[in-house]
Amino acid sequence: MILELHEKIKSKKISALDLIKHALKSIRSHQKENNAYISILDHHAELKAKQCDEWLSVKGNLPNYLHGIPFSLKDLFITKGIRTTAGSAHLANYIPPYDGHVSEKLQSSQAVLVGKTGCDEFGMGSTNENTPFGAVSLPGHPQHVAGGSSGGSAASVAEGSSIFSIGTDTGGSVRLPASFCGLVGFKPSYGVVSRYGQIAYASSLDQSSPLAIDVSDIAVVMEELSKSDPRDATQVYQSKHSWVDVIKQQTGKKGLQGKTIGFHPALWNSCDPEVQEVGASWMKHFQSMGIELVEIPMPSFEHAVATYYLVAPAEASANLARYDGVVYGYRTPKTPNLESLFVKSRSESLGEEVKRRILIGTFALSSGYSEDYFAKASKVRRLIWNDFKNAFQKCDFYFTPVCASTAFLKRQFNKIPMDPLKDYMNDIFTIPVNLAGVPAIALPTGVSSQGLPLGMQLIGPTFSDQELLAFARNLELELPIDHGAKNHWKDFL
Amino acid sequence: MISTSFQSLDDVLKEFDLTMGLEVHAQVDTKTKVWCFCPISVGQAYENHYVCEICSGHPGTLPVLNEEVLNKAIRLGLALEGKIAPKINFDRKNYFYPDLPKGYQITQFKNPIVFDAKMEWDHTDSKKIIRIERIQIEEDTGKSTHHQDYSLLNYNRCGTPLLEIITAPDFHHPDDAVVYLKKLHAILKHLHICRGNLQDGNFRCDVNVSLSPKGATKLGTRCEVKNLNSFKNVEKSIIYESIRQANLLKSRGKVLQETRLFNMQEGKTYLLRTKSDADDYRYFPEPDLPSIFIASSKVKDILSQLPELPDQIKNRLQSDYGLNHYDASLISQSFDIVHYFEECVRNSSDPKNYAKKIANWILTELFRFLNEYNKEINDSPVRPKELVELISILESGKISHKQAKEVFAEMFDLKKSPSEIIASKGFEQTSDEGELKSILEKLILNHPKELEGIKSGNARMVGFFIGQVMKQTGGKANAQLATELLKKLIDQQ
Amino acid sequence: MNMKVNVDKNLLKHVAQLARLEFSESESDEYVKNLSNLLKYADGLQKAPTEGISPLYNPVEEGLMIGAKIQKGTQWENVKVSEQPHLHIDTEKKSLSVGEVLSNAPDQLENQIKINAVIEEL
Repeated sequence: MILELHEKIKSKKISALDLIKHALKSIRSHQKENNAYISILDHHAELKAKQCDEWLSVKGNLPNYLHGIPFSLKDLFITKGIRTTAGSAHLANYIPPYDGHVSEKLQSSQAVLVGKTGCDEFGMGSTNENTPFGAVSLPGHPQHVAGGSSGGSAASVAEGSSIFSIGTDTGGSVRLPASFCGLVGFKPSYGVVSRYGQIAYASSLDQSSPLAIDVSDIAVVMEELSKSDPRDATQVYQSKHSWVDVIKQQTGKKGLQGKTIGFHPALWNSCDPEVQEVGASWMKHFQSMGIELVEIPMPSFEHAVATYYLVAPAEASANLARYDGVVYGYRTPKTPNLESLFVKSRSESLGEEVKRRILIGTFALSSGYSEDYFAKASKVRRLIWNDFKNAFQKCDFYFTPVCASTAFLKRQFNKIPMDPLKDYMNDIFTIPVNLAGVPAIALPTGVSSQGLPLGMQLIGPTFSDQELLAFARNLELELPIDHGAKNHWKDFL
Repeated sequence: MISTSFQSLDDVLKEFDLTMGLEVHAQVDTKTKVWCFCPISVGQAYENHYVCEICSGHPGTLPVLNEEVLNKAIRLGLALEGKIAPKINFDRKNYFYPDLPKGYQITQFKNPIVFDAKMEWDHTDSKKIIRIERIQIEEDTGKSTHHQDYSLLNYNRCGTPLLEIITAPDFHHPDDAVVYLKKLHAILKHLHICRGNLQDGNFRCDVNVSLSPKGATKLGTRCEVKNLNSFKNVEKSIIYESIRQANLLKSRGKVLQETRLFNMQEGKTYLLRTKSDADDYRYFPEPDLPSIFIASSKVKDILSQLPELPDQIKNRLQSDYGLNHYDASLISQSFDIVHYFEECVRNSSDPKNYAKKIANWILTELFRFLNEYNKEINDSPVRPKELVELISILESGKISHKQAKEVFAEMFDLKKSPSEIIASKGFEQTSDEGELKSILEKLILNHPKELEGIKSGNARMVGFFIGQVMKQTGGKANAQLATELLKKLIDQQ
Repeated sequence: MNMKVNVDKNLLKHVAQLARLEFSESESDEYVKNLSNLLKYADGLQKAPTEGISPLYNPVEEGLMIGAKIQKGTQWENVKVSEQPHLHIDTEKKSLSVGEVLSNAPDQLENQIKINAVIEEL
């Protein structure tokens, strides 16, 4: 969709300001119900849009596809001079003195930031309810969550207030809300997008990940995000080809024929019947398009949740030690001594789930237990990596659900008492991807009988990101994929 | 009351074996910090003027290793005959402290850059060998200043690169510790790895001190004395600790494992904290810094650029200048002494002949005075050029050896040139053969009896003639020359 | 191995102390329950066949291996991957201004961060 809008802006059929005004109008009409945003940047956005239009009239050309396109950022991305909260009370007044990679690259490509979106505190959660800034609703379904942790990002695109959004995906935090909201969510291979300026949850799992209405837009955004950044030592990938070119070489069925997709029935058995049905119908489509299906078991997946919930909290326990109230952030008013400065500043400002994960992680690394928990989990992590490695010797991509169900009910509407462990189980299909660092894309497949969107996941080998997007793009063109959110922008297309 | 039956180190060493290991923190002499591009603040600098988002631990920031730190660590490893790890990793050491803004220190726990290095030197008739177990790259912390009821934090020092050089418990006497530290300090400076200003904290030492009953195989409980920043303080604190621990062992039977600080003014160590179970650093691999593979070509390159090291210098002093092993090893114990010596040799007219004499003067007179005045050789008031001048005057026979020593003492005290002092003291010897000859001829004519005495074998009469010569020349005559001339004249008769 | 950890309030207190957190009595009960359930579940990992398996701490390690293979030309034509992580050259860049360094400070005095507690240098 972005490429089409780009042509319209370039030929002055629409202006950037029109687009931004439309986005801001959507925010105003949906913010109360959906609560997608923590900070709305209306003045900033209008000013930027005017600059975009001025640029075009002065220079007569557009240097970048994203010129004038409204977007939002999960509030986990550092934006210089713009409040960045990480969805936490601890950083409620934090204004970064520097700019992060994602903000810098997108804003220098003249995309227009309309707001910072809500998320689970520090990205810890899959419902977007673990934050003092309030849960985010699934647009059109006020009793349901938009998913998490990048729930605000997903809702902002689904409600039509931004054309794309960047979230972070540590265990499924982009793919899950994308799936709940009927969007495309792409988690690149670990090492493709710089994490500089992305507030860390679990450093070896976190990856900036775009959400958009279609696969083509994902590619346009990846062009900017994947630019090499010497400030992140783990950013080791460099694109050899233009991402947009890869997408432009749409081959339709030809690009699908002869490919092999791996799957395993065991992974589907525990899912809601509707999820199973959609999965089965997609697999039929695959076969009809000349794609070969192979059953490949993933025996290590049964350990993925336990592995993740030791490794991620362990890293988080160190990453979140800096929130001690000394240099920035919340400081308790009562500081009789150093110990209580630390303990009270942290305890009074960090949320329940964050504390829970810090406790788990601290325990998993502590003396006497680290061998049996952190080290053991890191070994199982290798088994998961090995399973993918072996699978990709037999198939090009691997097919799974994103989640066993459609969007969850909000806690206040849910009769079942809260159980963190049960919540963690929701991430079973997305977690192995982060543990192995491989790329994966969540694609919308239509809606359930209740009208709730559903998503499927395709996983590729490490650094096959462009091949995976090209394949997904061809699927998107051939399969009955629902791009409902596109309707918000129909006046501009 | 703690009994004070031990008063001196000698008392302690009669009953106990003293064992020590040293950890030196050397700030690496680079332009920028270890993880960021902030300049290193040298000496006095305005507070918080060399600080960025990375070294002050802002959310979303990441470390990137300074290549120069890696190169210098390898350089030191090679100089100390260590093994360079083919693959290195970094780890997080977790603890809360206001001068550590991230809540963890990045250090090398598992795979340090250098291991199995050593330092050796000649000690009377044996060789001292100190095993250096590892050298690791890490970051320095910020600094705090303490006021009545608050503290102020300055992060200029935060992220300054450190090399931590850790020995095995191979020290058994404070003298050895001091020799080791001086040698290490000299190498660090000589190789431009560390500026080495002790008063600025460029070179700091922690000492682990333990006592065990004489001959026991098991080491006793150790106490760590932290942050010693002078050789004298290291020596004093070891002696204080030994006596303190000996008295504790005597009176209570045990020493508690503690971290202690040395108070310079009082010459005592104080309890900082007891080591307990709460001391759990929860080390784990730093996810933000991937493994670095050290290419053997890189190591070869650095090796080829390594300047001459003490052992090589010792051999060269023997082969090039004909110094004996003992003198050569004394001179090569410090690069400053070597520089001084070679500067002298360069200034001399006949290096082959003078080298040994120069070495002799340095190792006897110069050392005696430096010791007495507590000065380092670089601060010697007698500069190499002047020392050589003095030696040449002595060699030309113008003054006696005894007089030369007197002149040296005044050179040291008054910073005057040797010729000035000789002139002012009237030390110049008369070596004019013609003048001495005519005096002697007259004396022989006037003292036939004494002459007969000599001829009949009365050696004392030689003294008579020389005494007369001295009398007539006001003591300036070269006695040796006069004696030779007298013998000649008598033989001619 | 096969650890069975008994999570009780003492263990929770110890871990909370390491993490510089504190809880009310009722919160503690809840966290003891959570932690206990999770660790019971995590004990399932002991069944995983990890003998002779080296830990994988970060997938970037495998990424670098791919980088090394690409260097040798043994696979992948479509991507460029470094075989070494970025290092930084030793050339100074401007730091933040003091104003920026202190802009988020909860308390400050004389260009420094102020805390109302007396601390000793470690």
